[in-house]
Amino acid sequence: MANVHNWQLGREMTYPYKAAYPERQFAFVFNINRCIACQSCTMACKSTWTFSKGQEHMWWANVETKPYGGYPMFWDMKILDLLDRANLEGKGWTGATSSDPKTPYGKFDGRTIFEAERMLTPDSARVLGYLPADEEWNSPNIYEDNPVGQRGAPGEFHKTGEQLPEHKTWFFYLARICNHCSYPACLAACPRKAIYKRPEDGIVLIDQKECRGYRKCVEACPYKKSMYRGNTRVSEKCVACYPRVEGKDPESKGQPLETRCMAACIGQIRLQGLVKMNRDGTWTPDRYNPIYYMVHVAKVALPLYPQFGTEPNGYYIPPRWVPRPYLRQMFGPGVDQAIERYENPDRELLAVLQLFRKSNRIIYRYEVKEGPKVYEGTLRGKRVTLYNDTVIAYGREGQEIFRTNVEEPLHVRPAKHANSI
Amino acid sequence: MPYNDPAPDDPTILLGVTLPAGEEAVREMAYVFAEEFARMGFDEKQLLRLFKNPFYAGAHQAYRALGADAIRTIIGECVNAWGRSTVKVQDVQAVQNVQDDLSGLSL
Repeated sequence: MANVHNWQLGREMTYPYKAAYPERQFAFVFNINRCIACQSCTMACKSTWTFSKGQEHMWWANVETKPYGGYPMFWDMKILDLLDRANLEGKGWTGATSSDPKTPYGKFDGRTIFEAERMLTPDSARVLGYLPADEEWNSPNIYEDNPVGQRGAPGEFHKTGEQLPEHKTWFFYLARICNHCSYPACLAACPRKAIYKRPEDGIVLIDQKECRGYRKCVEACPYKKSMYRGNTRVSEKCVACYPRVEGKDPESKGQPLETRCMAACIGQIRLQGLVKMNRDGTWTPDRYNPIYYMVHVAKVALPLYPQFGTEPNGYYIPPRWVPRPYLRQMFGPGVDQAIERYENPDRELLAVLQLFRKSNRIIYRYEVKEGPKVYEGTLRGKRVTLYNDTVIAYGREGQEIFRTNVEEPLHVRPAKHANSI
Repeated sequence: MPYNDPAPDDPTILLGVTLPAGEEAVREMAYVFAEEFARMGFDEKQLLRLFKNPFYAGAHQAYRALGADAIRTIIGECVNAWGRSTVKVQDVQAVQNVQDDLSGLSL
């Protein structure tokens, strides 16, 4: 076991391999506040990568309704329970959120899935995990917010639904893909060394020729984004649409494109990019890269379950209406600060949030040009001033991809095409 | 939907999660509804209609919990701050250009 620095945990941790970091890292930000669970991302991925025989149960991209839903069923509850048992003396975060890029969320004092030796079976295992049963993969939308009628009367809904007992519940939609972790658990667990992390963009792939289908990666991935295919007897996972990220899609004319799930997002919750990496595993300061800005400057986007220890590269703007203890468990101690900033965005954050889904090109840099003041008054009991600034997105070669305003118009079809779908 | 009711003693089944916070959590949800719909072009009248409609269960729950006056204040604030949306008719020409660009490729 080697010692590596996990900046999301603010400390060194053990990992089966020595640290090695890519030149750039595939990373993304999902704004959960805007997700409506339309599953456009899910189907974009399905129709691109997992439409073949033997892949029926595979949803490399999925959207699940929290706290009830999960794909595979109860994946996070089960791994959190295992982690609890591995940390009988307790686990938690100490210190405060800080501007130090090596400890932005303080320090996690518990054991990660790589440090739970006493829980591992057999002794040769490297990562704490579990293998989901077949039926847990079968119903990706189970317990979601489907309307339900009376038992024994299929297809009929309550005629007076508004008079039914009302439960004070909360929920939100959690969109997920592989996090292309900096310390991938799938890679750590593979006895064949069939899984690798690409040095140019940090995308984690399974070499289909080397894989023998032992399913150690399926067991180890805490996010359960490595999946076994029965008819080919090898495992598969999200490939981050690497031909698009490489700029090999003919539509892009050589420019890196965001993944299919990102490009298909009609809720405009997704933004994906490639962040520069330092040799010590931290992100190279790149102030005007939108992903870097949201994670390290505005600090509105947080990693999913950082306590697992894999340093995931998927970041989420937490849903502001959800009870904080639940969110702190899911996104770590940066939650309160992230929600405060998102609820009261400054001029720059408002502009950066407009970058989401205006183009399918990967944005490498943005620039904000100041516009006129459009509102001065109160919002949520606080004084606010809003400006109609212009934000400009630039691509890999520094060329302008698009520009848009904080107050963007609503785009509608012309009347003659109103029903053209 | 589940095929059967969950066993009541199954520890992994969540049987309903109540809001641990009271009025503040509801107020937060009300602001989310009002801000998002105001940014989509709803005016004060349309927003109030949404909150009054019992079939929009979340918004209506907030309406009943906080009262009509509080909801009107929230709506007013959100429409003032975000309610300047304009509508732009999107021509189909831009889409046609992309198709022209791809026509020479052997896809």
